[in-house]
Amino acid sequence: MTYYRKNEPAVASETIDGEVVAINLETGNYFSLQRTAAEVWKLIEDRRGADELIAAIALRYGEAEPAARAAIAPFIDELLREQLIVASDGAPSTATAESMPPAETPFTAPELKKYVDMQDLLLLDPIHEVDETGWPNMKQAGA
Amino acid sequence: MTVASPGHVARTAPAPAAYFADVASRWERAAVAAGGAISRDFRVGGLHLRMRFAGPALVQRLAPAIAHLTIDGAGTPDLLLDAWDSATTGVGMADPPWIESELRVNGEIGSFIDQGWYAHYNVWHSALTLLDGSRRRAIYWIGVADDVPDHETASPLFTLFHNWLNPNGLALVHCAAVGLPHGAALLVGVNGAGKSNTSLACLDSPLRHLGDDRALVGAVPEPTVFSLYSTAKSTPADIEHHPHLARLRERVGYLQNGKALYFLNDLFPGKPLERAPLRALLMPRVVGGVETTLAPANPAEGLRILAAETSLRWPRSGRHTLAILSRLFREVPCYTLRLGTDRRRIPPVIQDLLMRG
Repeated sequence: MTYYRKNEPAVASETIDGEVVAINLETGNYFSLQRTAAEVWKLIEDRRGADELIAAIALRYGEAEPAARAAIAPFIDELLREQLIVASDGAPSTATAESMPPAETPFTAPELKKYVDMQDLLLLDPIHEVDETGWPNMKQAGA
Repeated sequence: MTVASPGHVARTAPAPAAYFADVASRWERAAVAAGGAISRDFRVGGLHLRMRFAGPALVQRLAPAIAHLTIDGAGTPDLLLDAWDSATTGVGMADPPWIESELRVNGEIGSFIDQGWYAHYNVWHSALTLLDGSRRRAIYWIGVADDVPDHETASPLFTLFHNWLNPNGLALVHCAAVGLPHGAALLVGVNGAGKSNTSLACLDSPLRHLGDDRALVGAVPEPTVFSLYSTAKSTPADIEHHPHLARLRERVGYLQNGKALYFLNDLFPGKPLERAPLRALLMPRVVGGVETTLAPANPAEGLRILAAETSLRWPRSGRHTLAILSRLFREVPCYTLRLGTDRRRIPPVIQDLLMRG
């Protein structure tokens, strides 16, 4: 069975009011996951296998599994591309999954909202070189 | 490990403790050369900071922004920070013991970041900061004191403060903060959202000042905001909207980008507030209309804005920072501050909210 885990320690996340705020501390991108996206994230954090989490979401929304899979699989691919999760080679959780209550809203495909406006904080490059004193100095423009 | 050294000759590098001891001995020599140390004591984030300067050159570059946090110097400090410059003391810095590839793009020095150690080299103005957290010691060195840029004088040592205080449960965040001793509001938003303009408007009100651009926040034992810098900045256009600032034109300095820089401890005595319980998280938004109003806001949006900036600036402590800030946003009510055009009506809205809380 395929399953995944959060890409720690590169990724930090917190859930507040049902919304997941996730920060990739290596790429400088940060993300918002709401509704089904946050639910999928929670199931991944709980180390549920891909088939199991798709089944759980389908059951919660009364959605046919193939339809749920068609919506969730691309989302998981996106999480992988953004290095928010990685394929896990450890064992999935054996704990009994806490069943999710039936949803009161219709199923919507999970969405990953991506923010890139803080990348400069990581990628700002103070180009430098070591001068004769041994201390790095700014490379002069045009040098 | 090999090092970058004069002539680029590789040699065995000292461990952080040995390098720190070497640098500390240079500060001692610098203090003697300068005719003695000048000591200043402050309460920062609830902890006692003692700064010792080797001569006067750096005092006016590093101390004025935190002058409002000055305390009596008795007792053992929680952090002893020794600062010197080479130009006025004649004492140079030890060769850097790291190889160039260890200097990260954000200025952190990889081999000096672990188990209470922190090192940061500001390549823009050649300043080194060393922190030995386990021994509660820190060093700041710069070649020429006047090379500390004015914008750094407005918010000195912020990387050191974050990395010293983060293990103590505090995060240095990009925000403004205003309030009263019984409760304060944090103003959270992206650049241009109206944080500074709101805090500037509050200077002409009973509300006191805890931060214009940065403040320290902690969640334990209760959500609290601590002032760090008693400085504020304004654009020339903003000055026209704030008569209480316009009359100070001749008493302020100006940054390279044209902004006026206010040292509030001098210009508005009694206005800076050292700390207050955090009672509201406000996200300013310019909406037009005359009146300023409040509306409930999505706390996840505020967390996203505040946590991303701080966590990504110091990614090593990003996870801890996100945990601190998420607790604040779970426990403290969050509002959109819908800013009207009449700036005089902004402070009463915040004051009423804090009085209700």
